[in-house]
Amino acid sequence: MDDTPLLELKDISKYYGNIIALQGVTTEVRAGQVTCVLGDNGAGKSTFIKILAGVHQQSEGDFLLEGESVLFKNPREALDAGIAAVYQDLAMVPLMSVWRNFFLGSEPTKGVWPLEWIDKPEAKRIAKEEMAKMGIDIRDTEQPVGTLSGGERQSVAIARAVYFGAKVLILDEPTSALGVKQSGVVLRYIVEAAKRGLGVIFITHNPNHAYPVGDRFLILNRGQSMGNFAKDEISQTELTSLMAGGAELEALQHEISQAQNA
Amino acid sequence: MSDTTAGAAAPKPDERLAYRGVFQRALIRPEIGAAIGAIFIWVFFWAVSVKFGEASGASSILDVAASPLGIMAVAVALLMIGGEFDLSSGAATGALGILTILLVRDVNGLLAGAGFSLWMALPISLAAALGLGWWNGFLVNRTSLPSFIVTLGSFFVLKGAKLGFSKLIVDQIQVGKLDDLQIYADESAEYKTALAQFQEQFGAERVEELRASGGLAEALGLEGSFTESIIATGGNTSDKGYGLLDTIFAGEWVRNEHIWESRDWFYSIGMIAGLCIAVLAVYELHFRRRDSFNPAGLGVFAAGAVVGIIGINRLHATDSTGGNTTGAVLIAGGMLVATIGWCMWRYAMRPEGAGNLSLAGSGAMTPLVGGIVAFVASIVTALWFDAQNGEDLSDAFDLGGGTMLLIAIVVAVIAAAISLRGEIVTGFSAVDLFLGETRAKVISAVIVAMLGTIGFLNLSTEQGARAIIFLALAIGAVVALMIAANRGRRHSDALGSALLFLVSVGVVVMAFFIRSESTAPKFRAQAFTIMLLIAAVMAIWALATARFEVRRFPDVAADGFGRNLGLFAVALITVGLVSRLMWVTQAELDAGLTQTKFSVRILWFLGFTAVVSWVLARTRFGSWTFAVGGNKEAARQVGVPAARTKTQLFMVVSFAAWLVGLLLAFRLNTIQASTGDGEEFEYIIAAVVGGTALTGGYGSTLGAGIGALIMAMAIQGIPSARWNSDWRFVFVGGILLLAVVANNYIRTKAEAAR
Repeated sequence: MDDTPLLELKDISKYYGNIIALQGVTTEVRAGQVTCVLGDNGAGKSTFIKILAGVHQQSEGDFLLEGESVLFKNPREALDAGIAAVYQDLAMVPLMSVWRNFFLGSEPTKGVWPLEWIDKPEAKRIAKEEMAKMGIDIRDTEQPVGTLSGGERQSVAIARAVYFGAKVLILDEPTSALGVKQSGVVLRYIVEAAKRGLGVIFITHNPNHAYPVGDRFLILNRGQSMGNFAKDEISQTELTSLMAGGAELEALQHEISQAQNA
Repeated sequence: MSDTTAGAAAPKPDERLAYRGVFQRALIRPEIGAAIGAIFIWVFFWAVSVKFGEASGASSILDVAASPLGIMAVAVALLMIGGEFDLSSGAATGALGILTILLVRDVNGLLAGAGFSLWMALPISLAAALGLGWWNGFLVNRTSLPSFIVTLGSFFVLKGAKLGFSKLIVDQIQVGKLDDLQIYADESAEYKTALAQFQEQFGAERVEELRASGGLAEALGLEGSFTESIIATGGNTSDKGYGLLDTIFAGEWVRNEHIWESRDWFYSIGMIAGLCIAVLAVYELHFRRRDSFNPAGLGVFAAGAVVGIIGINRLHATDSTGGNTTGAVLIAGGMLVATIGWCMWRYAMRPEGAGNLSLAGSGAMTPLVGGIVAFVASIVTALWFDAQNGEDLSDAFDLGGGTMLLIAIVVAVIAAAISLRGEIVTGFSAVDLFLGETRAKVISAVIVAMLGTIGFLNLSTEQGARAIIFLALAIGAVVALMIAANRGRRHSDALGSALLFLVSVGVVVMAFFIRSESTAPKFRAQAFTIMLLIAAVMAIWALATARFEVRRFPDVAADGFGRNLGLFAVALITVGLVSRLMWVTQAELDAGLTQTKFSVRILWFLGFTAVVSWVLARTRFGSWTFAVGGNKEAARQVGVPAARTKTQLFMVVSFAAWLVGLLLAFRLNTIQASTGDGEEFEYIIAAVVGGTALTGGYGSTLGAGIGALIMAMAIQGIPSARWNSDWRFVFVGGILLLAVVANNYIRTKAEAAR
């Protein structure tokens, strides 16, 4: 088996002027595995995802794609290299139908310009098929995306990224706005995507969501890496306490119990 | 409900995604409200004014709807779907027309003594138009300011420039004339040179001789082209000699010159067969198919169709009352048999019964009683008006101020009592009546009732009064009964069908009352037939829904066939309508038919609407338009060129403005500097009436075209109903408010019922 990771980050740092947004972050993503990036608000998760997706460029460090050093100038280049980001707001148009959203920006066409039209039956068929592969039966792909539940929308976004040839899938807080049951559905899609040979980067602040699906965990706090562990190197409890800044959480618990007793 | 037979096809039905039936699917279309409204408004004006039912009425409605209003409304709706406004679009129509005329005119030697030929001027003004659109788009994209403000700036710049340049160049606040000789500057220069040479060679006398005999053009070697027409009129023509372009932009179809004796056959067949097939299309989408078709039903269907065709023939052959009735009854009977045959052939019977007929607990009682009361009232009204027939009706409405006030007060008291009905039963406190919510309720009821009564008594003519009262009561009755049928349907299918059957009986009775004598006999005769047929369709529907099973899951084959049937029906109806509108029969001419012309503008309007609607529905650009209007950031993230799409949308609007400018220039020859100023709001109103959301990302260009038709009907209908046309804008404003509320209500309802 080829041992080169799909994506490898070595000592990545990002500075905005004199602000250190990210410093010395190292991790890797392998095909068929899920790498979870955990961190509280302001930990540098957004900066991290933007570097991966080509929105920003790192100030220091190496970004290796299949063993080769790369530097993406814009999101389009990252997308072309097979790195697709599914953002929190999902990049969807709620009033448009499922199939139109699925193919938005890359619609399959027939005919020659200026008489060029969307191959609607084909587009609807593919959208339905790809959704079925994610385990969702969208019988009417004409349904507006706005009428789908949060989990179903996530699945449309993920299925879309997978269909358009993503090798690495970055999911930015996909479960943060969802209920317990819906989160479970999305976690299943994540495992599903990994099973299909993709490398998945799952960004979250919820260790309970990360631990069951992750193969590798990167923990960020205030722009610093708190560690980069394989699954067998860390337990869920350790993960939770590391993420919240360990000692800080204990101090907080103490403070709250005192306040309650007073 | 059992839909287990579908089990094999559907892998794992997702219970969260409910199936939407044919009516729900229709209701979430943005243009549905406008389409229904257009039909109602047309029927209303038709009842009030004979002209609305005739080709001349249709011609003038379409003409007003087409240009500038319709073409611009469609383009503006597209831009609004893309999330932007263009307030300069109205002024741009006039500006581009003026620019075109200025280009072809030799304006005080400004263009080195020669204007451009039209063939040159058109591309130049088009380029200017696209430039204007690009500039609007560029400013909006670059500044990220609301396009409302940015294009307001463009509007004032254009408005000022039109006035300024007109005064500067031609020293007038209007620019003309397009059909001036100077149009042919190129050709006339050619003519002048040739003429000068010829004169030198053969002398002036010979020229005059040739001019008189009509051989000058040949002698100069200039036959053909525009030049010949200049020579023919001695170089002083104001005839539009620009041939092809004249046909393209100002052509007319003179109806009385086109005789077609078998026209009415196409009309009746097209309309009746088209509507019947449309009904069958709805059946196909609504009912569950049998597992295997039953060919016996096909035989019954064919027999019914034959009876129906005999009925159409009967209807066509006669104009007499009896003939109409026989024809309508034959058609209705044929429809009944054919539909039953069709259903037997294709659809599955209900496995269980349709339920019981009990009204208890269905909630249908109140609307049922209300509907029957309104129904009786409408018939009494009709009888009363008919009893006045032949006498001077104006006495009945020539009321003094005192009487009018008295009536208004009586109505207001009734309204107040109705608004208080809950409190009268349960008791209410005096404090609440003077201070609380109750007071607001009573006062608003009183004000609305008084204003309504006074306005109504003031406004309406006898014709209008009859139509308003009768139609309001009759439509109210039908709506109430339909609500009853709908509630009954929710209770049990048998009750729903029975109540719907009752509605159809009511419609038949009304059809006989609408027949009575009046000044709009044509409306009566046609409305009678139409109402009988509508009643037949409803009765058959009531029967079919009670006996056959409704589909509750998608069926691709049935959906596809149903849609094709629907398209075929639309094609047939179009053939019927077009042949009725555009051709005449010799008999009509002999009876002294007034002249009617159809302008080519109508074709431009229909064509533009069709092309833009296709682009919106079927191309990437259309998809991107929805996307940038619905969620610009999301669209950009997935690779849609948002800024470019918006700029192109602005360019579509300015292209439409260029087209409208040309149509105006060719029609009027002279364009006022103020042409189009302020009309942009009418475009926006038409788009909104047609179901386009002001917030972007939702709407329909087809709807905008229908919205333009509705506004044209208001503009044409109010004077032809002999009302003061000052009230036109009140009407338009009312339609706008009603449309926005209705569209919003329908959409929420349809989405909630999903």
